[in-house]
Amino acid sequence: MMEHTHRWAKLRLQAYYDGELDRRTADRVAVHVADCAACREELAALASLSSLLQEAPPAPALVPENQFVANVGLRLAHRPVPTLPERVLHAGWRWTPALLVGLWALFQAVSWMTTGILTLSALGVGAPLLEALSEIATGALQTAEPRWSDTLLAVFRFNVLWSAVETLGLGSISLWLMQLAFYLFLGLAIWSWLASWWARERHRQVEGMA
Amino acid sequence: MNSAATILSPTEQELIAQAQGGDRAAYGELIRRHRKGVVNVVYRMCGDPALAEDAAQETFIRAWEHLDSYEPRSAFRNWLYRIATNQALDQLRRDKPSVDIEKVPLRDPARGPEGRLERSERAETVRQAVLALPAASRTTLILREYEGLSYKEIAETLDIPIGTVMSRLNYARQRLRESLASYMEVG
Repeated sequence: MMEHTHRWAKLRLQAYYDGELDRRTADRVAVHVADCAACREELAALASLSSLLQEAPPAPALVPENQFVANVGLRLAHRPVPTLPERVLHAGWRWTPALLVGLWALFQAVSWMTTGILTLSALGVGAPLLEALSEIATGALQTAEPRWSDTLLAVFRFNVLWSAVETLGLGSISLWLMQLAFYLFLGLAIWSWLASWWARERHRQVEGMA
Repeated sequence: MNSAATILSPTEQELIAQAQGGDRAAYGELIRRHRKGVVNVVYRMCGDPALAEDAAQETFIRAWEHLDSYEPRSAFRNWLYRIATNQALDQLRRDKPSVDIEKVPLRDPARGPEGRLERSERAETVRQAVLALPAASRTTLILREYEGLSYKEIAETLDIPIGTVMSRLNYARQRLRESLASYMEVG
């Protein structure tokens, strides 16, 4: 058991010396070191080496600081400031996945909502509810900006129509294909963004390491 | 776990943002703050002060060219060191120094514990012993012992796993203890 503990602690001595162990492991190593002369000797050797290494002198200053900065400054290439369209494009690229997910979420929410309403209506329960919701939606949307209300109403009505046609079994295959195409488009757009992001990160790493 | 805000002081963060916008004066201030560290890292890797100055200048020039790629998730200093170590390795490949750790002069044991070496002679021997290490281990040792980077920071700077950092550091320390054993006994 003692030998096992010693081997365990010895493997962690360097990290313990460098302060890289978590608190619990460091405490366990410390307990062992207090009882183990060999480990204490090893720690002392590490400390002695560190102290010795510090005797190696740093770089002598060959060039005064201001001259060094001036020399670098003379060789710096011109950095063009990004224009507003470039900044917008850069920001838009970063927000693309969020917008795609938001688009999918909106489509799903409206689809579920209208499916639910039509189901209730088909059960003979929701007809008054459907009428009331339509009046409320139309009335609320009419108070909003015309273009937004038209858009949202179009989405709402499209989903109502879509669900109604689905319920009646008319052209279900084509509708299924349209739905599949929509999800494929979303999936392709998100994967494209991920691929371009990965390529950019790799390019940045290569530039940094070159 | 440090957030990006605690890695960079607000002043340095502002300087970097200004430099990324093309402000050369802000970048000059960044050079002043990090010049010493960059030069020392390269000097300890190459051993030649003139080469170190040149490589340090190249480091800051490349950093300026790729400043847009810097993101505050890592310390600016560590990002600079990454470029600096690559510059130093390029210099080493070009110049191929021939210090062999087996040939690092050891203290004459016949002088006994009562003998004393000049401090500069011992310091030079230590410097040569570090230069004699393989480049990969030498870089890791320098970043840890002289620049005080954590294992995680070294791993990010050199783009290697933390396990590799530990094994390279262990190897470097073992070799140095063997080559500098007599100095350590006296010290």
